[in-house]
Amino acid sequence: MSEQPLEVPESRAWPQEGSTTRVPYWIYSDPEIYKREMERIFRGPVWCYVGLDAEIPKPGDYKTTWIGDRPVIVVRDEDSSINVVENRCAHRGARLCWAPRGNSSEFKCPYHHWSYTLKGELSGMPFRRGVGGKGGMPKDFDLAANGLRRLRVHNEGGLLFASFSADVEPFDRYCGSEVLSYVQREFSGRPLQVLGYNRQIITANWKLYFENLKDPYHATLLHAFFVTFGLWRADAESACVSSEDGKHGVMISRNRDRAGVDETSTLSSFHSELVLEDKDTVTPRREFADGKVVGITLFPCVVLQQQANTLATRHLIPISPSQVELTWTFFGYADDDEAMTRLRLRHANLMGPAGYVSMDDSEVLNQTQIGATACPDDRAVLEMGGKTADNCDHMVSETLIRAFYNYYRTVMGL
Amino acid sequence: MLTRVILDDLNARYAYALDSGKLDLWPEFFTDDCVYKIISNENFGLGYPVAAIYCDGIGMVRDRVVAIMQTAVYEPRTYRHFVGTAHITGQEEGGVTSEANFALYESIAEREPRILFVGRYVDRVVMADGAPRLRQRLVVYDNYRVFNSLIFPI
Repeated sequence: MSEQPLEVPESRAWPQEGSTTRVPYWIYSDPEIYKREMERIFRGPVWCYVGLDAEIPKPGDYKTTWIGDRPVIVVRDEDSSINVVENRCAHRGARLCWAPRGNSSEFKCPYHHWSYTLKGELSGMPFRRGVGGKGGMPKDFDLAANGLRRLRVHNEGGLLFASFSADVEPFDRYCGSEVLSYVQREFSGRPLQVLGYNRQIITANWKLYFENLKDPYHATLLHAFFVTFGLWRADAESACVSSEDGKHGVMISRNRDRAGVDETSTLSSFHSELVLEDKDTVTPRREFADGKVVGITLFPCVVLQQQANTLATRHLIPISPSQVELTWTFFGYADDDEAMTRLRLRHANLMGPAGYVSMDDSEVLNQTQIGATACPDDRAVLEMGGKTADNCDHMVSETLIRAFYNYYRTVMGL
Repeated sequence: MLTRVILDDLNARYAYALDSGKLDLWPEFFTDDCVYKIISNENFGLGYPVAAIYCDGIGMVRDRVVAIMQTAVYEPRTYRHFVGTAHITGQEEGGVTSEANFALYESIAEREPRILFVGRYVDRVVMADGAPRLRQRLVVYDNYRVFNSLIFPI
């Protein structure tokens, strides 16, 4: 935490009227709020998703990514443990690793060749003793005090998390037992294989994206494709579950088929005339014993997606108050058969920047950002499913968003 | 005999169909056993199969058109393709392999036009039913990220 508190103007007071059900629009565009989020949330006592261990299988394999606005390197050490260090030379601040991925036995800054071990320890620099008795670093220069900033790391069944904070809770307590059980359902330690990435810039505040995955209500209306093919329907058995403090959320549903919807259906987005030639695109194979479809928002920066047979992590990397990079890492299990991989790739058509359903989201979130930015002093109304933030056994509810903002206000001091 | 001129003509008609919003004509450019993908250069280079749009067979190509027209929710926009000269990279059974560079501009009301995609087509072209058709079109894009949404085929 910084010693200097960030000033947020007095006018930035949370609406008094039904504070759990009202969200002021200035939180989506105010640069001071954004700065405070970077400091208190992304560099605060949280576990930030940084990747899958399947992305860096061999010693020396690394990937570069971001935690909020800070560049980091995620690397597998010689002993196979995972290190996360800031991607910034301790000398002049230049980014050390320039490529998105690679393999290396050390990190050497291209600028003045300062070298670091895979743990981020400064191992040396050229001309440390000068040349011909001239120049060089002072005798008392302490290599050990000038390494890269090293973050705490947690590996949960192949999901990698890092934290800038020394005070962050252990991961199991950070999640809470119920949310953790849903994480472990998909990430049990069964080896994963990466199937590829989709990277997009969402032209909306990062929280709007997070809220979208805490809002099962919209999915039954906006996503006609989901509704028509039974992949997400208001009449499916479902639930909304938050961690006790409200920061994480789980949306649970079930894939159905088209059966059970008649002409008098109240499912307004159901298109009975729509038929696909490739039935496999909308016909999942059962793979989890509980038959559930589960979407998890793990605070602050990852969505764990399981829909039909497409599995992905969606990593949120805020760029500015009005833009967030969304990196989708699609994966399967290393022991998937060929038929399952084929389905995972077909079902990936639902997701990403051109996804049959997620395209609707990137479009509508941009419109929300435009509207909210235009009227920062107005506020959103979140009363679907009641005024509390309790768990519920249906999807016609905004309870997970209400729970999220109860937590957010505490962390942000709003 | 598939010549560069024939491929350029195919690409010109293809771009015209998409730019003028005649989505229903788009499947006509493919063979029944086609593969169509819009895939990042990153995935393509790493050998990862995931694509932004993935069609394996003409049925999935037609499905994409139906879904865009009937279920997708998006802000109205215009796409404009600029396709470079085709380069024949090889001969194979029944046709040729070829590549062509492209740029795609997106125009939306109240905003400036933007280069939405830049990349190359990696094609396999054959003669089928009396016309040159795509047995494979991999739309390999150089962008590291997609700006917001990709609505229509490229």
